[in-house]
Amino acid sequence: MIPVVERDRIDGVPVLRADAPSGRHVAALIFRVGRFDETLPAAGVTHMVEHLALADKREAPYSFNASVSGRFTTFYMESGDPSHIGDFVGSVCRGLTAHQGADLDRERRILRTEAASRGGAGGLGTSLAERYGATGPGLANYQEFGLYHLGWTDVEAWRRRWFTTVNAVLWIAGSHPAGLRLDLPDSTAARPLALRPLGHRLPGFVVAGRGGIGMSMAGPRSVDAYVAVDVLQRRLTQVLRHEHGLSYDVQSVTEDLDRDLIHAWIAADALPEQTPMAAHSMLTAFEALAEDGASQAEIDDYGRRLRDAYESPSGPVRVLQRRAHDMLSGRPERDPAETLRIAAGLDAKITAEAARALHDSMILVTPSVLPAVQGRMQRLPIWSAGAVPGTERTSVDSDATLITGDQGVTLTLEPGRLVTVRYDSVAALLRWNDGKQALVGTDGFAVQLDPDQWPDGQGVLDDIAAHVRPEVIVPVDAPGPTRPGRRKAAPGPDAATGSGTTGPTGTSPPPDPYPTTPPLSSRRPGRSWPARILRTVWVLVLIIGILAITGGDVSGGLGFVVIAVAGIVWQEFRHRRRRRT
Amino acid sequence: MPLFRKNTRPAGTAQGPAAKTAPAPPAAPEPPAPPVDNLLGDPDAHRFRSELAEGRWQEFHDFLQATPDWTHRGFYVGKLASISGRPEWLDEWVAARPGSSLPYLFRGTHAKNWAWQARGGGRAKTVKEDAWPVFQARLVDADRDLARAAALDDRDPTPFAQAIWVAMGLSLGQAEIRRRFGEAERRDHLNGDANYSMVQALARKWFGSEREMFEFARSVSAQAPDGHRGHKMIALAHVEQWLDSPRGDAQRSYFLAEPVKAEIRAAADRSIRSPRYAAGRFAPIDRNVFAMCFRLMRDYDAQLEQMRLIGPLITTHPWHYQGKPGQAYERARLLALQKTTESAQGRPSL
Repeated sequence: MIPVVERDRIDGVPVLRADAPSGRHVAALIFRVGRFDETLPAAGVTHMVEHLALADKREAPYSFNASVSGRFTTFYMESGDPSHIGDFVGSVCRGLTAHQGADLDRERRILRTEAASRGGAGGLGTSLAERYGATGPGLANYQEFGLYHLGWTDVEAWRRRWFTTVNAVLWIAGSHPAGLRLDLPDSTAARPLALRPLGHRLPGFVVAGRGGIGMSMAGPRSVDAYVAVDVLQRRLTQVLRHEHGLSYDVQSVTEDLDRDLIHAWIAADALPEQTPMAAHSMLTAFEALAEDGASQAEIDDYGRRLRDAYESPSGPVRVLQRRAHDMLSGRPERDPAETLRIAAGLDAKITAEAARALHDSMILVTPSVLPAVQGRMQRLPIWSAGAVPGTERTSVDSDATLITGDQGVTLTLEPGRLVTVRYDSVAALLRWNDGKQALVGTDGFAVQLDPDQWPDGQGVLDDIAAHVRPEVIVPVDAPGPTRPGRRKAAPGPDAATGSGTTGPTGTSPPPDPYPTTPPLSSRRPGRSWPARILRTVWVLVLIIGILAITGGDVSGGLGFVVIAVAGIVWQEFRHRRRRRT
Repeated sequence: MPLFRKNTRPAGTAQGPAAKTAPAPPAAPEPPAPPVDNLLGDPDAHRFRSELAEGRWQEFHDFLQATPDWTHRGFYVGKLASISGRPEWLDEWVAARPGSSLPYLFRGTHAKNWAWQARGGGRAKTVKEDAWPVFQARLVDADRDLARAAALDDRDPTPFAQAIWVAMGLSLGQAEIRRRFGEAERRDHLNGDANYSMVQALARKWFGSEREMFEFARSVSAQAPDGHRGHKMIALAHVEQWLDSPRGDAQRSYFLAEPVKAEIRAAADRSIRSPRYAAGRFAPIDRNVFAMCFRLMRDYDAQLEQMRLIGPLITTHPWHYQGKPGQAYERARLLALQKTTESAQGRPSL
């Protein structure tokens, strides 16, 4: 039987309830705020609020936890005794309103430790950063830099803005406990920041991670889209695992990007030697779905599984959670029966359209440039399109140049390989305690600067800091990373996001946005010793030619000069080609 | 004093040490190149090539449909789909015959050939950087069409034989290449196109090794009955190995090794020299391969015997490995004639 949802309101907070056939009582207090609502300088502040809220609740006669996803923060518990719900909700509300400045440093250390042990955001984080840069959902790919510098005032202000009665829903799967109170502050509803997609031409691909392939897709929230993602995931499992033996697992995760937009991530693992075929198979299957749509059997199967899920012991949790998210996002609430009815009315044409829309929004994350991928789509830009005007300096230890001006900063590692951050679109200026700093643009491009690398380095860095708004400056009490060559992180393999509501406490795992590899300026192939000797020979031939000409042997000397120049040009051409590749 | 003494020698004086020796004979002029005919003199193939050049595919479609032999069909598709550029009538054909595998097979084969036109036939290091995406995009298109052709006709091995090349170009790995070969083999045991594709795919330059390539070629030969064209795979494998040898003495002497000679002669005896050999119109394809092997083995009598049987039906492959195919063929022929004449006159052969 599909769960029936009852509605109530306690202390101004909507309360949803459904019977739980398991006999256990589950409750979740959800707030419509998450990682995607933050800014880069404040990244992690929601996570901090979530930790502080439960900081004093070390033990209880029931299980409980909390999590922060992209758009929601969820405090949840499970017990055989409904009265425990009241205890848990009361604890959370007290934790969200009490003064906890004294606990801040301790939780800061815990959160940073948690982040370090969690690892990177993987291909999913990379794909979101490719879509949104260092804003909104793109923050999933970044460290929680707010943990380094935010004080109690900042945390408290964030809490007051988002953790309020107008931004909360409580749901209960089980019995309504007597005397339940939700003592949260009143406030006007906070306005989320609008998404700022980077506007790449899609589909496109990005090279990141060490293995596996991930498909990132974005599209309007609809039953059609969910069915298309589900069918695709099942077809990929069939092809990659059962037919070709290329993958162990094909995972699928969907998450709200905003009120009406969802992000879908499908990732498959693969051995390095099988990655090209796995990518080809994935794209071929996706293209077939976009071309022909789902079969009636697949659509019927989706409807059957969805009904099973609604009617299963976990059905009430699923229904309540979805309903709470709808309410908090300001969407029309959809009844499960209505969802089943819509799913039953789908056909091949509708699902093909949905699949095509998802396909055309795709960012494919691959561990290397793969022929079958490059033959289908373009690589997303890894360098900025242009430089800012200003004063140019050459690095003291490489060929890199730095331009600083009133509009921003451009770091050029090699001709055509440059990174520009403009002052009018700075997401954060990170300042490490060893003097290094990084200027991160809202588009995700970052210029990392080491004062030792530039003439008058400290003056240059101070000048840059003077150009940015104080609120985006992030002092980081840790040494800076090794100089980056370019901006976009190469996160770990296809890790799933920390989104969802059943995982352990934590946000989407953010990696360091800067690669730890040395800069390209030092990684690029240098001249080998034979090449240097050959270059010296050419120069000597040139000198001999010039001497011969000046000595009167014009024809002989010209011959030497021509040979030497040809040799130098040839060698330079070869060297540049090697650097390009 | 000038660093280098200017050439003050008056015109007409001695020319230095070289002048004391006989002048080197002028380089022998290249023999006039006989024409190459990859269509093997087949009148239908020549006629359809002209028709397709005019965008008339309808009769060709009917002709293919009435050609049940896979080798014949593969020949017409493979040879006539080598068209520069991408004519619009390919899409017209697909649209006009939606339920037929043939337009997909032809367009897919064309896309594969067209991809290789963008890439060139050299090693990867010789391919221009901006040619790779073009090459790969065309291969992706080819793969879609070939897969569709295979789905529409589950008896035809040709889509899979062609798709082996696509898998090679897209680096899909040996497992996928073997899967595609297996599909072709399941549809047509000892299919010539599929076997040739596999020898290439298993060569070291692609995804294999000397051992795997020869294992495959010998396995095909072992399965092939006397007189079958499959024995040619032995010769093709040796050609690949010869190409893979280091330039210089190793390459020059490759075909002079007795085990190589013996294996190629045995393969020839079981195919082109077998009384049961019945390759029909495709015999020149096999004879050109063996003729070049005999040339490199310096077995001039055997080479000339094959050249007589080849007549005017010289093929690009394998002579293109030695320069312009027609000229390479003619050079080889003249050399063989010279050597056999010298031999008949009792002069030592080099």
